Amino acid sequence: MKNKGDPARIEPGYFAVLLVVFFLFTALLSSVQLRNMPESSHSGTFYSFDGELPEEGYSLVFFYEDSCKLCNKMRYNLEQTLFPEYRGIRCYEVDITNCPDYFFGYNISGVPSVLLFEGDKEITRVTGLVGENNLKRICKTISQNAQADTFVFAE
Amino acid sequence: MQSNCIIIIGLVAGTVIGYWYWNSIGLRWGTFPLSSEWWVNCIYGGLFGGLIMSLISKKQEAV
Repeated sequence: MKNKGDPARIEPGYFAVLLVVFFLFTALLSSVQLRNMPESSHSGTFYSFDGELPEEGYSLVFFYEDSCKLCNKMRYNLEQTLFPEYRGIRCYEVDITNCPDYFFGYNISGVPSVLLFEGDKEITRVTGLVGENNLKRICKTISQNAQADTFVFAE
Repeated sequence: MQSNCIIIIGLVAGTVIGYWYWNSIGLRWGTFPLSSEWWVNCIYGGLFGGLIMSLISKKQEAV
């Protein structure tokens, strides 16, 4: 029984409405963010992947499609994350249009996708467009012991 | 008052679970709008936690 002095009860409907409103808000915000996110102006930024991974050390394989704008945006985020600091990670790229075998061989669900390897063992994968901060956080946890190496833009 | 406290506990617990989910899984998923952002996962977790606890609390009051 509700007394006069009791505070108003928080109804489930409030949360349902808030969920819908928040979903619409994030959809709108993400579309604005996506539009403003820069694309990479480089092509062939990383080494071309030939299926062989180094036996030691960390490697990154970036799966993309040439005509995919999201892939160019992800490439930009990877460049901003990897090039200044994490030079110990060997970076490869695969255009899935030209190399569909790798797409199915590594169970890629879509592009852009990034697979991180320690030797030839996959340690984590990133699916979709992920921001620089998240990429830095992921790289930081795995590259603590990566040996210093100079990375050169592929020509 | 007590039911509101339970709902707030659910909200806080949901927020914590949302952060844990982001740290272990959401960090690597960019397939949904802002799904890889920590604050989005925390807010969704909090809202779902509050929703679940409010439904449970309402059911308990009805009983």
